[in-house]
Amino acid sequence: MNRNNFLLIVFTAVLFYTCQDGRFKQGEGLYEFYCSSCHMLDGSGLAQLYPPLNASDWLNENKDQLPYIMRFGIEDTLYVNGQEYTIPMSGLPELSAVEISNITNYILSAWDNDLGKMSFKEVQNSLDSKKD
Amino acid sequence: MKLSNLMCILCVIGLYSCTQKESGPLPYIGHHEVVNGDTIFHKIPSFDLINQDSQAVNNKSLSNNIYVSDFFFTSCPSICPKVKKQMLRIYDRYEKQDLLKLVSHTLDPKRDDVEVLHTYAKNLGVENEKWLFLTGDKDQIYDLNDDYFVAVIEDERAPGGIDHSGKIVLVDKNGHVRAFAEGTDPEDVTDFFQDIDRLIEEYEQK
Repeated sequence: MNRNNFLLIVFTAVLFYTCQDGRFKQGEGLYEFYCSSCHMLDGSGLAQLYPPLNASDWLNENKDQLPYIMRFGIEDTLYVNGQEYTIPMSGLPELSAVEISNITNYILSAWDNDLGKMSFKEVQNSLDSKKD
Repeated sequence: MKLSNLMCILCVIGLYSCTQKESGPLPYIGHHEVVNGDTIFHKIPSFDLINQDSQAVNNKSLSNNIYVSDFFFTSCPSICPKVKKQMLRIYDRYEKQDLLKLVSHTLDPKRDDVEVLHTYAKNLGVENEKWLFLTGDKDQIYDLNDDYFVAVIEDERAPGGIDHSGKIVLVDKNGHVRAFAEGTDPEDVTDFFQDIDRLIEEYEQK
């Protein structure tokens, strides 16, 4: 391997690594703007007013509903980590499917969360889902 | 060489003194007036409001307490929840300190009646008289904003229709404002704990 090839590999590896770090940068920015007022920057929520998004058993079991709730809001009572939440959330119709996808994937991997990824197709399926 | 040694020592002393906690009485914030040689400090004017348990709250009922105050409304989609998170930190930290109360005024008294405030307080985990959520005459509440140095403007373009700042203000037994913190900034509120401690100390020394 000559020196130039070696440098190229190192450069690509560094680039790859730094890009990994900011995978959901856009989602993070959108989360700060649209969600963090109530759900807090650290995803901890607020007492029994706004449920946590970090380490939430509800989210762990219902992550496919996350995009739908972002767009259309939710009025159902939720039980998160043993607490009851009754305050309705209004939807954010101004968010595009791509933006919702970015926020969803940010939340799924932010803080202590390790809830995998959601493909754009899965996000669209959630947005198209009819509520029973 | 000697000069640089001296500089080093001065720097160390300087740094050390910066890390020292401020002590002594807190300043009086706001406009001062001198009348017949006596200084008159800015004071929260008299008010008459109702709390989440339908009890009347006025200056007299708070005259044996120091309190931290903020302005909010329950349907606020912008800064209020962040400020409430910080008020909750204060509530938890001083839970057993009976001298301190927390007073939150709604800016939307029409919607935030006693019942709404009662549920809101309960959802925050507050079921006692330490943290008061006040509603009442709208003009009276809006007149109080200036005295708490909180800016409020009703604005259709603002989230929730009311644009306001998130200051948390510390008031002493006589209604004088003694310190404030930016309620959206957790670090500022951590520093604010020291101000609250200093005011508590003032009364405990008496």
